[in-house]
Amino acid sequence: MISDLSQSNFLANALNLVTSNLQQIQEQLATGKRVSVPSDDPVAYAEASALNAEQSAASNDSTLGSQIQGRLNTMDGAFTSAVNAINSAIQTATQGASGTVNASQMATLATQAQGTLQELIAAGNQQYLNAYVFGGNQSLNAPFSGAGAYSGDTGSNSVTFSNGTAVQLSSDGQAIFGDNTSGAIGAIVNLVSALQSGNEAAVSATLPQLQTALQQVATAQAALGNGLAMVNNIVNNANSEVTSLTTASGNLVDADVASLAAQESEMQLQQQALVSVESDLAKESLVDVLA
Amino acid sequence: MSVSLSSIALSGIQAAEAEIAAVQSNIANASNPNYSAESVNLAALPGPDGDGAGVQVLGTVNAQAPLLTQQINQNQSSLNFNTAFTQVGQVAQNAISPSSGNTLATALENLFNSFTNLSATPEDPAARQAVIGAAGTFAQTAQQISSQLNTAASSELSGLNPLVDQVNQDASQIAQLNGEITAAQTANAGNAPALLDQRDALINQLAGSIGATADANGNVSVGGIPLVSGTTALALSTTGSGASTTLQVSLADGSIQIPVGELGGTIGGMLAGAASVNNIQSQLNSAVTSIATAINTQQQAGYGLDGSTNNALFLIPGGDGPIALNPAITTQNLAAASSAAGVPGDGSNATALAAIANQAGVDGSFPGSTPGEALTQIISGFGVSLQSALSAQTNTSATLQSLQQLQSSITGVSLNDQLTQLIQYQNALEAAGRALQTANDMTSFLMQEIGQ
Repeated sequence: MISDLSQSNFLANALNLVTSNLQQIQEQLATGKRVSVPSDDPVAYAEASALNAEQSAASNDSTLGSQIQGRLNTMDGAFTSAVNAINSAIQTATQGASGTVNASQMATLATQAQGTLQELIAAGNQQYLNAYVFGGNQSLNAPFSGAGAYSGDTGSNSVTFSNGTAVQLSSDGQAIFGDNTSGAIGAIVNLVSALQSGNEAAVSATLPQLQTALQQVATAQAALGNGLAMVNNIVNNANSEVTSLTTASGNLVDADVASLAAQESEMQLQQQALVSVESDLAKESLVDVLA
Repeated sequence: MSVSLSSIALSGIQAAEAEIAAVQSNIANASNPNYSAESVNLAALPGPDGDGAGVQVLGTVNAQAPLLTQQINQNQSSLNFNTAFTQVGQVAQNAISPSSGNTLATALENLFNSFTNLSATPEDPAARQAVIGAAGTFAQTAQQISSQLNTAASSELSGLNPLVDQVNQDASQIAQLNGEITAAQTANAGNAPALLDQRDALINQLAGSIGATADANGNVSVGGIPLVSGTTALALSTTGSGASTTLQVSLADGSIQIPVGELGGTIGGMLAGAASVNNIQSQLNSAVTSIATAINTQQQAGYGLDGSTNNALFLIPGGDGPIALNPAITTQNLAAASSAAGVPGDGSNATALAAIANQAGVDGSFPGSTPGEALTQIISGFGVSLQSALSAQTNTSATLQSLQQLQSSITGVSLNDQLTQLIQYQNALEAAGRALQTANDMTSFLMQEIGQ
């Protein structure tokens, strides 16, 4: 026997189920998400969270890497200025040591060399975003005085990207440019002094010092170039990683719109069919027949 | 002979009237979900010489399906349990995984990213401010989640006392009905089926409220502890508070606690749901405290731009209370960056702080997991229990509907069936009336003949 209550309950329950499924499908279509909260699919949620964490780190690598590219390019520019200054000093020294210049010309060359010295010191005092990049870890004060004395330290700072790659961001300026008694700065200080005193032999003696200093700066610039290449790679990889992680995360949590649309049509059809059945059953009551 | 014929016809009329009354009651209650179809128990009356002497109405009974009723009550208990559990669970889930996407894991990722960025520009006030901002957001997110979880659990438990009152009312009514049913059955009164229906409905309500079970005599118990014994209802009350809330039944010589695991229905689901929310709150607080402690330890080992050291980034209360950003932290004394005093360009301590992101076992409960992984495991673990409850809710609801349909097919009312029976009983009444008329005619004829 099918009681009237049982029959109407059966149809109501079936309608409720279809309506509930339809509601769920429409919610997914509206949000575009299959997994919005952990209980939708805890495994997918956990995997998507892990991917999102990687994506966040990769995205940060990309942004930070771009800033660091700017910093390293600035440092590279300083190295180029330093190389130019040292080459200029070599030319001045070559002229001064040629034996063809008189005392007045020596004085002029000394003034030129003094200017070159200031160019080199300016390169050593290069700043990026208000931080001195060649003062070791003393980034808040200019590492070189006007006379070329070094007040930075021997430290260096570096950044570690999410893949574990460390890139050096600051350097011990003394180890690269020397100071008023050594290296490139010391050689140019000596050159200025020799030119001012008109001591041709002393001028000549600065040439090998300048060649060595030039080599020293060029080596540091090459190392910086390697660091810059690494950062470029990190930024490129991070950008493509962000794209692929976004896709992977989307595959886990995004709704399959085409499939959902088909399911929605099917559910709507079922809903209509159930309403129609309910209506037909109501017409077949014995009460109507006996009336 | 004529007297016997009249009494036989009369008994037929009485039987048909009783059956018609039962059908009328059935039709009137066709849409009453707590009604069981009634029928009349008849017995043939034996005559003195072995011939039939009519029919006797023994009483009205209602259709019963005791095994189905028991299964329905069990499923009702389970459905209500899972409904209450998922209700608080979903509130908690929205707190730990808000649609805005501002999750604890995101705040932590941003904090670790800010440490990495600071390591690149340790002397930069903007980078230092970014660390303070990210740390503040992390602490604030943890506070908000903890507070929302606390509210969810306490709000769930605040609904407990009205439900316990309702259980006590239902239990009292059942005890009263037990007495009335016994009396009605003893007196063969016609209202016994209606009383049984009332009691069944109340027992179903108690199953849904607290997971109570009952025997055929209306004795109700919860987890083996009696709640209604015959005509006596025992008082149920709450005991304890917060996460340790449970229920007890008052007996003559004291009270007995019902183990939380034995509680079903809405009350069981509320307590289990609140316990589950308290549990995730405790797990998250513990994880956040562990992470903040690890960060503080590294932070305090470093030096600020002002040369100060041992400055904590977070204030960590005792226990697993929510953390807070240390209000004394500034861009100058933020020690995150440097490993020594007087080296503003040194970001090695910031690098060490950023490395905590990849350090396993920061939260001792998750020895093989990084801080972010531990948070994800806690949240997805909660998702598993909620998904399981939601799935159980759907399945139990479907099972309950099937059982109710099956029960209704046995004890419910079919109007078509009742109308057919009505015609049959009307015919029986008419036939019995004709028989009485015939007996009357025969008596009149005999009286006339004797008179002539």
